[in-house]
Amino acid sequence: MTTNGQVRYGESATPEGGESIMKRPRSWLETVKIAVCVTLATAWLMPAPADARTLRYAVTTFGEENLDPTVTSITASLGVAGPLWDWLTEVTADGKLQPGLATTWKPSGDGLTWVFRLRQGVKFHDGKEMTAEDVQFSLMEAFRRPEAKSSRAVQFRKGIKDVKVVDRYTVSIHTATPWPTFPFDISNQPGIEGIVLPKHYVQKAGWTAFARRPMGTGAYKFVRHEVGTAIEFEAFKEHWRTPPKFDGLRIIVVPEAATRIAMLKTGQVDIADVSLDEVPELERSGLKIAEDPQPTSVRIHLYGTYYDNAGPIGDTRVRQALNLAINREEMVRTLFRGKGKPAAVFPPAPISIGYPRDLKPYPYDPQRAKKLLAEAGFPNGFAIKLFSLSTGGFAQFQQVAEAVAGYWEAIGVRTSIVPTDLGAFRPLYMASPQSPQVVGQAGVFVTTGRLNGADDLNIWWTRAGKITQLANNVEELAKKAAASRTVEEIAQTVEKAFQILYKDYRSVPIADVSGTLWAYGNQVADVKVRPHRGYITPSLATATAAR
Amino acid sequence: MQRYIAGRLIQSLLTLVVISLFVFGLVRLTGNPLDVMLPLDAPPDLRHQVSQQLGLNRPLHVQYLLFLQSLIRGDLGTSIRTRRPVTELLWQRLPNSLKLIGASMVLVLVIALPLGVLAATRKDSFWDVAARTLALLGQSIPTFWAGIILITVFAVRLELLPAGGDQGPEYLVLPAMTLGLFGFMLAGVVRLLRVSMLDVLDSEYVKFARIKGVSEPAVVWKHALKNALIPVVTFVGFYFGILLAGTVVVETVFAWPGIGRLAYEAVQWRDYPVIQGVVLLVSGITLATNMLVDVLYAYLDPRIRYG
Repeated sequence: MTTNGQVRYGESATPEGGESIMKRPRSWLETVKIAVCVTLATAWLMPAPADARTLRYAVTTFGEENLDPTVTSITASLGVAGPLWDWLTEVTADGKLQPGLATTWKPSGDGLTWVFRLRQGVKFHDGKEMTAEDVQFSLMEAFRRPEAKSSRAVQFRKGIKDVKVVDRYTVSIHTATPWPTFPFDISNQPGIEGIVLPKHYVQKAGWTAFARRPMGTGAYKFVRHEVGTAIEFEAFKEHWRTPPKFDGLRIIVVPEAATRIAMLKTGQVDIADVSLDEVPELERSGLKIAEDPQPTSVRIHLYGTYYDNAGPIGDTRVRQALNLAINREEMVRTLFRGKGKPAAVFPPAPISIGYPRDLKPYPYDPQRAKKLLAEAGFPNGFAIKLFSLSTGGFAQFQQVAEAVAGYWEAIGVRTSIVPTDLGAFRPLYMASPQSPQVVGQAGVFVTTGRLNGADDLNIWWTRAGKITQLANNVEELAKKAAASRTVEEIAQTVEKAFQILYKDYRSVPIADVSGTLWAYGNQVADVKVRPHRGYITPSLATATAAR
Repeated sequence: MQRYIAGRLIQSLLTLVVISLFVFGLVRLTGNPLDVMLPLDAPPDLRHQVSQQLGLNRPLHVQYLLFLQSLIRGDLGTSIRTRRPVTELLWQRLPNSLKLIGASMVLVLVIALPLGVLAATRKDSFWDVAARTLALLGQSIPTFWAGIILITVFAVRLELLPAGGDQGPEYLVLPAMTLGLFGFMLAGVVRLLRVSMLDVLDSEYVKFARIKGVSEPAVVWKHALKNALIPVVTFVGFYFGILLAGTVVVETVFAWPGIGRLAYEAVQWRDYPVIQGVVLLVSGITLATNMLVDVLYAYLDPRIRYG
């Protein structure tokens, strides 16, 4: 307690050493406290702090709230039910592949079959052992059934021809075409398709019951779900790795950022979603920050640059000028509070297969940018729209748009920011590149990169992505990468494609930042966040309790 | 009276049908749920498949008729976001909102009744000005900001009350204070009661009671207040529906799991069935409350009779 009677966070309101409040002058704050206590008698009903062994995590939203991972987006399967699952393989924060539920894996000579040897003694939450039959069920039935709509259900439906049980702990997976990155694709990083679901339980209870009471092999088992409010788990003591240090886990939805932070400061929760803006205040309050090991790629898309009607941005010199106008170092230092680094390409992350490590971010040179605009026939600049697309999870769309608009205005590019959200922008985006409202314009965009750089190449840059094609001169390389037999070959091809895109200034990469952050309080000593596409829930089993 | 109630019931049902048509059409103008549910890079095959599963690929009039057909059976459909029956979600959340509104109303009445009476009986005095200023202050402060300030003071600084959630009666205090004391309710009741009391206190029967020698507290609290409460009851009844619809902000700030937050989440996700369900429920409750108020009129003022 301070001299003016103010109670600091974490201190008791009782005077130290048993000193009586009545013995010294009462401060105004104490008077207010007493008055409030009398007026609000309910305050006396405050319960004792929640069980010290329960880890409490406040999230912004549960998103799509169906606990069946086969029919939901990644938000639900990882954000809400993440603690329930384990993956066949695991990718570390530095991109290394390591055993998970599978201990070894080997491709056949023709690249069309993968043989996986499973870990013995892994148990589902009902105590039954996980076997090859469960893996077969998960890959052949669960994620391939017509209702399945996990983010890569279509790819798995087309790519996997058959899964055979060789013995109790061995499966052979037969693919339609060589799939050299398959062990990466069933890891924790890209999504949910690498988890193993309990065949016996789903077959007995059905998918609807499974969605209400899901079960996996993860470090926490399901207890209770209040839709839109909270989900509770209990530590799974028989977990094959290390059982969690906390006895329970309660995830609650707190949409308002100020409330989340207040709950964290008062010890009502132990971990909370936070944004970069809030980091300085949180650190001043003595709270610790955990970062997603996989950076979030912040960039500006230039739409339809390869079309005749792309306008000024159809000219390489203009695109170069738009890039040279941006002071990336300054943006990282100020806007992103130093938690990131300037980016040369998007979106592959440093852990992605094919990440072009040798490319350096474009320099900041506004004078040269102005000259390039003049050379391209725009000495007085031109007008461009900059869509600021808020997709949630990243709080600084508008600030990025304002900063970029400021840099572009400085070289004479008159930038009008158009704030929008996914629901409103998507129809325009879907119509792109034909849509005149989008072609020739720019947009702030934020995503995390995929583990396989070839996927990002396809989705963002080529016709295969259909709605997101941002260039047309890397089609062949993307096809070559897709048909490659080895991971090394894919890496080389993808890297080459990104070098071409870099040379052509097809986009305006800004920075790779720690876009997803969590703050944790005094009860938690540490959390080791694994790459899970920006979700911490599957990593909460690694949280250690403070003494 | 019975004929009146039956007529009002039919009128309310017709209103609900019109509302259902409006909400069904308007909600579809806000965008397609697939645009929010699926990632931007979702392949067209997946879009088509999900659209089919949710029945969004059917013509609008077919979708509406199916919705009405289910509505008659008491089935409001299945939430697109959670895949749970909408009625189940509404029944889970409604008690929480009613608890919050009830607590805020009690709080308002406990504060506003003495304030309104005080302001009227001591017209133009310090107490009158203070009561009106307090009411104006509460009305001028946005509930969102008030909620954050209450959290900062009572949860973070004084550590007296929890900042958010719903795990016990103490969690109700701050949201109820925010909903009741800030916004139009407290101000409305205080002002309305003051004006109504002034009117009643000036009436012939009150003067007669005073002449008869009835004590002043009995005149005010027993004779005048009962009649002065009639417009207040109308206002509170009318405001109940507004409060129910307006819990969105308070429930979001305090992470209170009620109808308001359900609506907030549903709008974010373009969860058509849930939005429709919430609007119909709130409309239904508003219509029912208004009807109840009309019936209460007859109790409070025996001169009022419906034929």
